[in-house]
Amino acid sequence: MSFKFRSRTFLYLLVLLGLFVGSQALTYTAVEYAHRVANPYESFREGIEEVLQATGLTVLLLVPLTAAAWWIARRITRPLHAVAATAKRIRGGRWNERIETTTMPDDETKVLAETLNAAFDGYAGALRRLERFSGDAAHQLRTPIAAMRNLGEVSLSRARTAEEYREALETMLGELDRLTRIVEQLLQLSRLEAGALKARFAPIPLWSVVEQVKQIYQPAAEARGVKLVAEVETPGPAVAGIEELLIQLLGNLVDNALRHSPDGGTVRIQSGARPEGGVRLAVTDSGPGIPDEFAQKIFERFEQVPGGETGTAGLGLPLAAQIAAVHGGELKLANPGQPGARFECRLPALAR
Amino acid sequence: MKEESTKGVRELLVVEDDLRVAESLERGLREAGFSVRLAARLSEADHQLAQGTPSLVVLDLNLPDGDGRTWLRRVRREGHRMPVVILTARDTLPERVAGLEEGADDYLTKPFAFAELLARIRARLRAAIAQADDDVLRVGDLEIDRLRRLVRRAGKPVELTAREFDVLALLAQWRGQPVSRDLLAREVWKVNRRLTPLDNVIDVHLSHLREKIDRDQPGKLIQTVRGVGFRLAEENP
Repeated sequence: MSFKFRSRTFLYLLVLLGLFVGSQALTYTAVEYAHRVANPYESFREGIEEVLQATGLTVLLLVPLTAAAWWIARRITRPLHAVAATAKRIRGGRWNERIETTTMPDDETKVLAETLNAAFDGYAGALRRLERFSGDAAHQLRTPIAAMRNLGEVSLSRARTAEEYREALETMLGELDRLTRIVEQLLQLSRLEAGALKARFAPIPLWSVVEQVKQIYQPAAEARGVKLVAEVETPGPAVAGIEELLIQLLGNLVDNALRHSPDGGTVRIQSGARPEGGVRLAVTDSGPGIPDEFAQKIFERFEQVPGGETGTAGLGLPLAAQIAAVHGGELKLANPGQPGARFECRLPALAR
Repeated sequence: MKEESTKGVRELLVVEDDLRVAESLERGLREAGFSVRLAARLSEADHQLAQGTPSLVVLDLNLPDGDGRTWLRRVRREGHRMPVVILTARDTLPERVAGLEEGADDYLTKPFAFAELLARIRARLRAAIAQADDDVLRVGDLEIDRLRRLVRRAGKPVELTAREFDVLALLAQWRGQPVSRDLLAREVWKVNRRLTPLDNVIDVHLSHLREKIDRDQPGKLIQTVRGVGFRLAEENP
């Protein structure tokens, strides 16, 4: 092991250094002393004795010096050995293990260990996301695939009319459409997570995003008997972002709100500056609200509140939250457990 | 299909290495009235080009013997001017930009609706022979004046909202063929329907259009093609 070799070399170096410094100092003192003391008498014997004494002292000092050097080397290398051993275990697949830093003294080794731990956290997080992504994706893709497979098998199991074949193909295309959408959404989620979109940011006035989304969904709201209201500050604040993504964020919130509002209900879009700083984009529906225990879950992929309408893959809110995060903000359910779910997106205001 | 008149420019070269995709494209394009040559590799595509320039090339980017974009750049340098529609499974923005910069005229991400590929090919061919569509489109007794944004059914004016008109105009542009929801979302609402939920919105507009155009009329012009989209045509015989 190269690590061990290095620590041993270090130890030898320390010992040699200790010996050298110690003997130098002693010899110098001895010679100085011998010179001063011996001069008046010019005794050769005394001079010899002084030198012998000095040598004896050196030999005596050699033992504690070596011990000290050995002890220091051990102290320095022991935590490094521990760091290396933990890192090796983590590399071997124990992704949750971390280097123990609480017992370490505040020195360079602790800084090193903490830096390594932070790096491990980062990699483990990315790895977990990747695992979850592929797990979720595989699970979610199974359903439409199973539907298509069964339909194909049943259709071919006996002779059918042209009309029946046509219907089967139409249904299959519908399932494929669902599949395509899930794949596209999952890809976008991972692309957003990868970041690197800041270069495309431009100043976007919030009112324009709200206005466009309202225009898109107004006819659908009317058809459902739901009033779609926008309370916007004009000109109001702007954010740095990508308009297409912001429209997607708000569009998903509004679509979600429309689906959960009863006939005669109201969906309210609000946007403006927050007194605490930053800007706010909020959508409130007049549905039954979202229970406490789902307040966090709804932002996870493929989660659905029981009793809600089906037909969506459950990726709309996670996507919206990820878009908010990409823009340096966050998306939250403001009133869990209360009727009329209110989703609030906070974004940093554009610096003027 | 009787309105289709791209006059003579009907020979396509499809460069695609996936056999099943290539075969279904060939079949679909043949049935749409094109003659189709296939190439599974760039070297075969070169060979085909040497036999004569096609009216249009459908190009897959990931081919066993190289990158379609490099090939396209070279072919453009050699002076081939035919329109090129790129098909790819890669759809990140830089790829898209790079593809267009290297001389592609259009870009379609797999999986795509066949109707959409057909629409793009026809649009490119039409652009290539600089033959603009008429301002006034007719389907049966329905008249759509795209310049003045007026609609008449059996001579009587029909009042439409701006978006309803855009939807109808798009259907009329591809009259006789199904228009996918994806295409409607992109052309009329400028959003990607796969990411921004739009199905309810599209359905509402179609039902309004049916109400205003087909209600109390003997022939229904707006048809739903389940699993595909919508079609504006005189009722099937």
